[in-house]
Parts: sequence; C-alpha cells; structure tokens
Amino acid sequence: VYVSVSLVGTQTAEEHRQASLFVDVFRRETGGARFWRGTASVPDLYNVLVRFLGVEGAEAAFVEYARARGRRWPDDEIEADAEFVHHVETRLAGAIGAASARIMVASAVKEEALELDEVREILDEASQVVVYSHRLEQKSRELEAATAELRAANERLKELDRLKDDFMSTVTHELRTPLTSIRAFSEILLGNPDVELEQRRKFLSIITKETERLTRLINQVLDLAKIESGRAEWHVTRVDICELVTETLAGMSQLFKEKGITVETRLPARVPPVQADLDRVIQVLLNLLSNAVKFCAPDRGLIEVSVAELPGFVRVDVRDNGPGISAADQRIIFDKFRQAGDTLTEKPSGTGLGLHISRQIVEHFGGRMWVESRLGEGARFSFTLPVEPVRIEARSEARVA
Amino acid sequence: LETAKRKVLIVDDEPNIVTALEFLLERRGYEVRVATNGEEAIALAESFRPDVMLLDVMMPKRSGYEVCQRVREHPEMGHVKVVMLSAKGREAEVSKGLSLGADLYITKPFSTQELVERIDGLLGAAAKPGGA
Repeated sequence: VYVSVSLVGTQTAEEHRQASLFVDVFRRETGGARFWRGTASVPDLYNVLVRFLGVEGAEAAFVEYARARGRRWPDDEIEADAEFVHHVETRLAGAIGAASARIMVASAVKEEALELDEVREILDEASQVVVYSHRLEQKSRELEAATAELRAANERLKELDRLKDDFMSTVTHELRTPLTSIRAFSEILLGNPDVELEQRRKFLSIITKETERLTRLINQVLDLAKIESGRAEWHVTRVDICELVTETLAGMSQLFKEKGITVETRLPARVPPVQADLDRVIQVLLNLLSNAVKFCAPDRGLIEVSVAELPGFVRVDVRDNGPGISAADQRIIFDKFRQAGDTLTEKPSGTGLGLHISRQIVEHFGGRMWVESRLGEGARFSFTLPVEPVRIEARSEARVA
Repeated sequence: LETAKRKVLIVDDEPNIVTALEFLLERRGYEVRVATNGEEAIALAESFRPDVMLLDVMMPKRSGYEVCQRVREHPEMGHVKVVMLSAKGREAEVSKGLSLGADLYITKPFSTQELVERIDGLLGAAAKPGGA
C-alpha cells in the first residue's frame, strides 16, 4: 500500500510539471512569441494530429475548435491561421509534451529552424521523460518484489498455522490413546473383582506402561516445543563420544541381557572430542539404542555400535538385525509422529517423536543423522557431530587421561 | 446358550485397547473377533458377519471411514451396526463418521460402562440379530 501511494504521488508531480509547461505555452503566446509563418495547411495539421492522437483524437480536436467558433467540422471550412496552429499545438502538447509539440507543429507549418533554446528544452523534456520512466520502472519493480515478498510471507504463515493445527490435533490424538487404555483397564479392574490374578497383573502392567508412555509423550512434546521455539538450553562442553558410548551401553546392559541381545562395539582408542551438550548426545544415543532393542530379531538380537573419525567429524553407527525399514518408511521415520509400517506390537511403547527430536539435536550441533536399511536386512542409524575447532593446546596435549 | 450369541467385530490398531474391548464384550456375552487394520476388517466382516462393528478411525491400510463406507455399500451388511471409536473428537470428524453411516460415534477415552450399554442398546433396538 505504501509503495502504491508513493507511485501516485510521483504521477501527480509529473502532472504538475506538464501543467506548468502548458502555462509556459500560453505565456509565450500572450507574450507575442510567434511560431507560425503562414505556410500551414489544414490537411498537414490534421495529419500531425492523427499521427499522435489517432483519427478520433484529431477529429475531436477539429470539432471542438470549430464549435468554439460557432462552426461545424467538417461541413464548414477551417482556416489554418495562427489561432488554429496554436490549438493544434496545445492539443499535441497534452500528448507528447510542449516542446515536442512545438517542433512537430513547426515542421508541419514549415517554420524556420529551431532556436537553440527550443532544442535544449526538447532535450530537457526528453531526458526528464526518460528519468521519470526509469523511476516508474524501478518503483514498479520494487512494488512487484514487495508484493511477492508479502505473498510468500503470508503463505509461510498459513503453512505454519496449518502445521501447528495438525500438530495439536496429532498430539491430542496421541494423548487420548494411552488414556483410553488406562481408563478402560482401571474401570475393568474396579468393576470386575473376580478377574484372575494373572490377568489382573497383565492389566495392571498395561496401565503402568501406558502411564509411562503418556509421561514420555508429554515430556517429548514439551522438549520438542522447547527445541523448535529456540528456548532449549544447551550446555555445550567437550564430549568424548567413545567414553559416552561405553557408559551408555553399560547403563543399558541389564536391558540387553533381559532381551537376549548381543552387543558388539567397534570403538577407536581415541577420537577427537566434539562440542556438544552431553545430556543431549546421551538422549540421542539412548533413542537409537532403544529403537535397536525394540526392533532387534527376537531371541538372537544383535546390535553393533561403532565410532569413527571423519575429517572434521566424529561418526556414530548403531546397527540392528531387525526387520529393516522400507525405502518409503525411511523417508518418513524422522517426521513427527510417524512410525514405520505395521509395527503394531511395538506401537504402544513409541511416541513417534524420538527420531525427530534426535535429528533436531544432532543438526543443532551442526551434524547429520540418517538411516540406511533394506527390508529383511536390519537397519543402520548414523549420525555425525563436528569435532571442536582445533586449538593449539587442544592438539598438543589432547586427552592424556 | 449358543442360539443367539451376538457377534462383535473389534477393529483397532492399538493392542491394549483391543484387549480391553475384547475382555469387556466377552464378559457381556458377545462373540468377539478382532481386526487390526482396515483391510483385515473388510475381509473379516464378510466372513464373520458381525451384528456390530467397533471401528477405530485412524488405522493403517484404510481408515475407519473407508471401512464404514464399504460395509454400508455391501448389499448384505445393511443391518450391521457401526460404532466408531476415535481419539479424534472434533465436530467435523464426528459428523463425517455419522454421515458415512455410523450409528454411533464415541470419542476416546470412553466410559466402559457407557460403551457396553450403548452397544446393548443398539442391538436391542435392531430388528433381529444377524444369526437368528
């Protein structure tokens, strides 16, 4: 809106300029300046008008001139006198500028050569027109760009609004699902005191698990909201990935034992430390490892964890021998609330947010996270984290302990 | 006892919810079958011919809406009562379910007591159970 107002403003200024040129023409006329030498002919002047105003414009100019003098065009004659020449010139000035009109009329009435003043005025006028037209083009380009920007911003806002709506709707759905089980089994246990002990235990354990799922979901939604809004606090320190992997695996050893899962590691003696938030990296590792546990082949589960140094990065791979992930599912598993395929039996334990959050964390530190898999051949999740910027003392006395 | 056991088909992809519904309805004396996705539900409805279907909306392979529509279009399943059970409780979703021919739309979490009573009510209001 602002740009268009200023455009109109510019046009008005131009109109002012044109109007002052008109005044100039009259002043010259009344001051006795003469442009006409008497060799003008009506057909010549008519042709000049037709050329710049079109036949209709020329006719209108003639009709108007005749009417003002109580005559009718084309029935009555019009005399090509000074008054008529002036009328033609004024009309032309409205269309092509006063100076240009003067020279057109001058050439039509075979007037004398132009004076220097007049030539300068013509050049002036022409250059002003060029400047004005450049300015106009510039303004119009600016306006176009501004409009495009506004449109894009509007689209982005709409998209964000839609995403937020979808997110809320999905969160609500995901919260209601575990609540449904919790309520149903609580009511069943309350209303059926005769339920056998074993079944009773089963129902109670479902309630417990669904409560955990609900808690995890709430925590993850809050965590994600914090990360996405940029309000998450990151305590960045030097992190030794090998040490972290070893500790995390040790913490999960009981779980591996219960599930009969073998864990193999390939850790180099030393990798350069990465700059990251220790707890966040543990969160990523736990997520990948618990996914691996979840999808490992039953009874003969195998998880391989390896750490490697790349130029500027440290890479971690977590590989399982589960059912693998189809190419289609590989594209969606990092999305919010998306889980692979028909993972029916495992569904209640997942929130569909773990991988999404993990990837956000890794990317926050300038790393990357991806998956490689083929159906029936397990899956390998990998991530990289950038090595901290090399400092002189960091190189020479790095990690003696 | 076997003469007029009413048949319920539970369709839901949440195993725990299935377990709960199965327990509740079997206790109530219904014959219960379970499908865990939309495609399975359509196939099972054909062979099992339930009196009532409990239909989750968000499921892999065909949504509850689609299943409901298919059942309604089936020439011999016009009498089947359809109860949609969904964690999606917005007006638009409820009216979509009902306009596709669902007899009831119940949002999760639901009261187990109320659910069972409403299912009983639906079948009581029906002319005749499918098997009789």
